[in-house]
Amino acid sequence: MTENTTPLLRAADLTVAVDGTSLVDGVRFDVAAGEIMALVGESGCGKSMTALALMRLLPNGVSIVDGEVFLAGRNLTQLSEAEMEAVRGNDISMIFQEPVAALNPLMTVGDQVVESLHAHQGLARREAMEHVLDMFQLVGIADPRDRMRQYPFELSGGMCQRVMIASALICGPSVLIADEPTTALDVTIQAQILKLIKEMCADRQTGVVLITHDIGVVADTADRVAVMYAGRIVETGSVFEIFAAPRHPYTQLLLKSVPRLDDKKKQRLHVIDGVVPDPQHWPTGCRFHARCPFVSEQCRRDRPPLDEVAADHMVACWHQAELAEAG
Amino acid sequence: MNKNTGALLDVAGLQVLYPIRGGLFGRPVGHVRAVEDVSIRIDAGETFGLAGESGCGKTTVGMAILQMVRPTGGRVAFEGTDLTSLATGALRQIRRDMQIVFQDPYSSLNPRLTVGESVGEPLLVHGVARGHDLKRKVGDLMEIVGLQPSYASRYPHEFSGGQRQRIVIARALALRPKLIVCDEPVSALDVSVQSQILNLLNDLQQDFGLAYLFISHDLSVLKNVSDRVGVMYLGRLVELAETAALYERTLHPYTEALMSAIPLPDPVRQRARTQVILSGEIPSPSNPPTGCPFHTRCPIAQAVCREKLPALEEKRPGHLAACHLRD
Ligand SMILES: Nc1ncnc2c1ncn2[C@@H]1O[C@H](COP(=O)(O)OP(=O)(O)O)[C@@H](O)[C@H]1O
Ligand SMILES: Nc1ncnc2c1ncn2[C@@H]1O[C@H](COP(=O)(O)OP(=O)(O)O)[C@@H](O)[C@H]1O
Ligand SMILES: [Mg+2]
Ligand SMILES: [Mg+2]
Repeated sequence: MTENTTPLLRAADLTVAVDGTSLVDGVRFDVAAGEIMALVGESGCGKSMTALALMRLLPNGVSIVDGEVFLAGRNLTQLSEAEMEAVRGNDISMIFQEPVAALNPLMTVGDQVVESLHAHQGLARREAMEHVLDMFQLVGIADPRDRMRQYPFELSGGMCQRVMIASALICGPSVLIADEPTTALDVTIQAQILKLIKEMCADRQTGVVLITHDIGVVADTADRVAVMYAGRIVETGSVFEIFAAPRHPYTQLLLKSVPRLDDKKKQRLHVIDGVVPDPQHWPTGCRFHARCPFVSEQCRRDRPPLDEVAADHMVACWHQAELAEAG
Repeated sequence: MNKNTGALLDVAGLQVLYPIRGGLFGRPVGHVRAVEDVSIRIDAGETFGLAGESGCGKTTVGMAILQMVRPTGGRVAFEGTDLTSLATGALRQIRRDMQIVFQDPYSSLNPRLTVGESVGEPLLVHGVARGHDLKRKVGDLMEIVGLQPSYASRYPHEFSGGQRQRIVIARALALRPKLIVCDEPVSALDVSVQSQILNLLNDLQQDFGLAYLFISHDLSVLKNVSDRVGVMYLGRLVELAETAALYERTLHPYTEALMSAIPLPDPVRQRARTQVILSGEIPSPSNPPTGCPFHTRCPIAQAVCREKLPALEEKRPGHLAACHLRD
């Protein structure tokens, strides 16, 4: 991380907890303008909690207990709820995994998007309508005029996700948080949505946090990757570096365990033994130690720091140097 | 001559129409053409993979084979016996030989039964074992799927998704079936756990000579498990081939688009690929397009495709496709 330039978005030692149990523990990453940063890890690792913390939309009882979120240098964790309300949508917005559930079922999709524009920019309704129409066109909604008059249940999942993206981008935020935006969609629709996110990011220089557990999606879409395990970031780096030379055993195993189109038939797949523990049972030391093939006494005892091992490549593993040498 | 061709399962011309009810009296006002003219043969010990996007009729094929949904046309012969003409009572015996595993391990286990009770239920119901013998058999089954027999007294909520899927598989194995329909058995699981379950299913096949109808929307998963693969679109099979042949050279433009939409877990190769991104959405199966069902989204469609339904023909030895333009 370079300190001399202000990153667009920075999570600085962000810690999120519920009843004294941390769900996210000292998460640190930067996202630059026009950059797609993928946050990956198995379910239960705290990806969604991180996203909601960035938006300050954490569920009841769950709160940020330490660390900061900076948006273009502005500390979001210190804003009042009213100030934060103005930041959401205008400067930072979010899309979710279940687009149909995230939309209001009782309102036409056109009205919903108009609403989000209206609330933020005080435009007259007609003017707002035209704006929404343009946006629908931009996100690839066919027959946008007709679609605007429809309710969410009348549209497919892929179409609802486009509506969500239109709604998230209509006020021109500088950061988009996308939490598993294509997980509920078919692959052919996923390909359309990922293409749209990449284009939007490039054209508008939006910084994107893309949360996914799909390694293929990361390989396709991300510029940089942050790998999360049990509430902590264990490795970050450029997408090419992470795939070519992963240093953390968790990253290595995660990448290896995916069935691939270029595998042989009935080839035995690599596995990661065990499961992600729940936050009440997060282990001491390195949290991956119980599932790690390279575990040592030190791993059980001490938390490994997230160290820079190469330019823009950080790893939190006591054995990363040996592992790197072993290849 | 005996009609038994030696195939374990011989599905010919399967059709399933679901009535759409409407109006005041709930009269059928039309049909969802969920499955049309599907023919599949599965040999003992073989895995047949069934691919396609959501809504294309995969689950319906699986359920129609087990007669959980009664087909409206065609026949389903299991070891030479046509199940479609059997009365419900007569199906009981056949059902011992055929089991089904669904996607969601959460809803397929009764939360009020202990894991042992769930696994042992089929043995009890079919009068295969009781008392001590039952307990021992349940313990054996749990071991076979990689769970400690002592877990038998616990309840489903104490287990992770992957462990629950193991429990469901143990129950499916209880009666030593010859065929298991696996309907998206790993789709709800994380990659690391996915590979554990895929390895387990491959092992069980080896050990017990099981045949699988393996349903998945994920062509990389199917490549790992299948001997042959069929691809469905809007209720019809559009391509069917040996796994190696299909993945080496797809014939149908839909299969090609489906393959191309799956991002490779390798950023260098993924970004060097030219992806076919399909436009538009899957048409409604209650009102399928005339001619080739894929013509509305097909990048190479011609006039003939709009007019005439292409037959599923053997284009090369063992490799079938339904396309006017490819051979
Ligand atoms: N409202 C909540 N209260 C307490 N714990 C929660 C709540 N929501 C989620 N969790 C827990 O926080 C952990 C991280 O969850 P999440 O951020 O959703 O993970 P991911 O998105 O990586 O799958 C999980 O163990 C989850 O059970
Ligand atoms: N019980 C039912 N009644 C009416 N339509 C149904 C029913 N079950 C499935 N369908 C419809 O049949 C089609 C095929 O569904 P399904 O077999 O579940 O597809 P897949 O498993 O490939 O997603 C879909 O259009 C679906 O909406
Ligand atoms: Mg999540
Ligand atoms: Mg299904």
